[in-house]
Amino acid sequence: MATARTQHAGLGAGYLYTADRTGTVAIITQGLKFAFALWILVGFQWLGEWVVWLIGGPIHGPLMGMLLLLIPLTIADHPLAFLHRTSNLLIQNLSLMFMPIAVGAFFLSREIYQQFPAILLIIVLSTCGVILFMALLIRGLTKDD
Amino acid sequence: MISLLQQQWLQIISSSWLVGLSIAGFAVGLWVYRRGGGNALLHPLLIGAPIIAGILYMNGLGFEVYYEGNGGLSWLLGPTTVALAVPLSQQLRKLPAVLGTLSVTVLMGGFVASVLALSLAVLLGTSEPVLLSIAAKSVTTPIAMGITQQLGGLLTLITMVVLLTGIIGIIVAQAIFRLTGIVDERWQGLILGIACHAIGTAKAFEKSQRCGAFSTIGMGLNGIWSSAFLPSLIGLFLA
Repeated sequence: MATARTQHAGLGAGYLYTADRTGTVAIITQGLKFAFALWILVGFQWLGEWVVWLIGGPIHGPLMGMLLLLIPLTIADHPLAFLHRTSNLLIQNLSLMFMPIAVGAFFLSREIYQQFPAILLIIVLSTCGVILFMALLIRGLTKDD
Repeated sequence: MISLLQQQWLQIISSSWLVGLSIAGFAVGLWVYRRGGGNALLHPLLIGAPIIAGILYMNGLGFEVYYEGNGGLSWLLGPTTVALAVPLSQQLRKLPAVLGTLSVTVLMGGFVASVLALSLAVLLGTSEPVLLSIAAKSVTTPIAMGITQQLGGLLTLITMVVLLTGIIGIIVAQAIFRLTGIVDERWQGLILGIACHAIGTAKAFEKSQRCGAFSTIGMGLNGIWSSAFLPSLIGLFLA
C-alpha cells in the first residue's frame, strides 16, 4: 500500500512536473514568437519610414511598411502562423491603443468645442451622403448582373 | 549610473498607473458595450474616455502628463498599422471577378467621402485645424492619424471624428441599403468598410464572413488610396 502510494505520488509528481515544464516552455515559446512577430512588424515599419524618407513622398511611414509587408504576404501561399496570431491580437485590441488619444478629445481648446455642432453636422451629412453615393454607384455598375 | 536607473525606475512607476488607468477605463467601456449587446452608441472608447478624463480632472492632471505616461500604448499603433497587411493579404487573394466594381467604388467612394466632408467644413466656416482634422474621417484610425499628422491636423480631434463617423455610419447604413435595394452582402460589406472603417468592418463580420471580408478590403484599400490623394486635395480647400 505504501509502495503503491509512493508510486502514485511519484507518478503524480512526475506528471505535474512535466505539465509545469511543458506549460512554462509553451508560455516562453509563445512569448518569443509574439516578440519575434512584433519585431518583424516593427522592422517593416522602420523600413517603411526609411523608404518614405528616401523618396520623400507624402505617405505615412507605417502605412508604407504595411504596403511593403503586403508584397511577401501576397506572394507566399502560407503566411507565418505566428505573424498571423500576433497581428490578430494587435488588431483585436486596436481600440485600447486609441484610448490615450480619445481622452484628448476632452482637453481640446474652447475654440474647437464651439465648433462641435458644425463638426457633428459635417460627420452626419457627409457619412450619409457617401453611403448613399456608393450604394447608387454600385447599383448602376451592377445593373446587368 | 545608479541615479539614472533610479530615475528610470521612478519614471516607470509614475507612468505605469496611467497605463493601468487606460486599461481599466477600456475594460469598463468593454463591459458596458457587451452588456448593451454591442450597441454602437456604447462603444468602449465613448464610455471609457470620459471616465478617464473625469479622473484626470479630479486629480488635477493635465492631458500631456497622461499622454506621455501612455507612450507604450501609443507606440503600438505603428506596428499595428503594419499588421493590417495580414488580413488584407488574405482577402486580396480571394478577389473574384468583381474587381472592376470594387476598384471604382473604392476610388470614387474614398474621394467623395473626403470631398463631401471638406466642402461642408468650408461651407460651415470651420477653422483650419478642424478642416485638417476631418479630411481623413472615413479612414481607419491608425492610418487616419498618420494622414492627419502629415496634414498638420489635431490627432485628438481626428480620433473622435473617426469614431463618430463609424458609429453614425453603421446606424444609417441599413436604412440606406433598404432604400437603394443593395441586398448583396459583398457590396454592403464594401460600403461599410470604405465609409465606416473598422467599426463598419466589425458590424459586417456580424452579418457574415463574406460581408466582413469585403469590408476589410474596402477599409484597407481606402486607407491606402486616401493617403495618396488627400495631401494634394487638402490644398484646394485651404486656398
